[in-house]
Amino acid sequence: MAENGIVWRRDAEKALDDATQQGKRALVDFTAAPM
Amino acid sequence: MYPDERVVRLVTTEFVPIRVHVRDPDGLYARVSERLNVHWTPTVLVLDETGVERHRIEGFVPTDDFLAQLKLGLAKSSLQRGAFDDAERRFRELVVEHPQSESAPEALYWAGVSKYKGHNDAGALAQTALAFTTQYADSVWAKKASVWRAA
Repeated sequence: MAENGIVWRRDAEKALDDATQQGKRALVDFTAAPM
Repeated sequence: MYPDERVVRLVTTEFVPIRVHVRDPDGLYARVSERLNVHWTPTVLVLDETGVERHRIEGFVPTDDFLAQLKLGLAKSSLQRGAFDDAERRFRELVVEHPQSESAPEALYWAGVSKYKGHNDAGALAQTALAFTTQYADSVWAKKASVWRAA
């Protein structure tokens, strides 16, 4: 999902594992805002 | 805050952006919030390269403070992995670029720690304590650094 140029991963569990395996930092946004 | 170009640039260049919504299907929010010990929204976590949390932002914060906190998380990640020069540079840039943010006094404190750890230079701590006498003197970080005055 893209928002103003940011492509958010929505498959959070896999994305967290991917980031760690690839040695990348992650920004995790927990939200209740309307989408 | 995400519409801000500075935030977009920082997020896209430094992080894998991951979003979890309270209404995500199949219990995804419950599982991920439990995994990362999150109890409120909005919450934003900065995870380092090993998946360890290095900074947490809970509740709404204005854009400039949000940017500063993201940079604080990046600098803390560098500090924790022992990249002390990179950490010091990032902390000092934060102070210069976001001097009015709530993160600035904390960044000044950790900049001193980074220099000390990187160069085994106790004078860095004394210099940091001295700096707090002229800026952010009323902050909790000034109190923390006050013990370094005789270092």
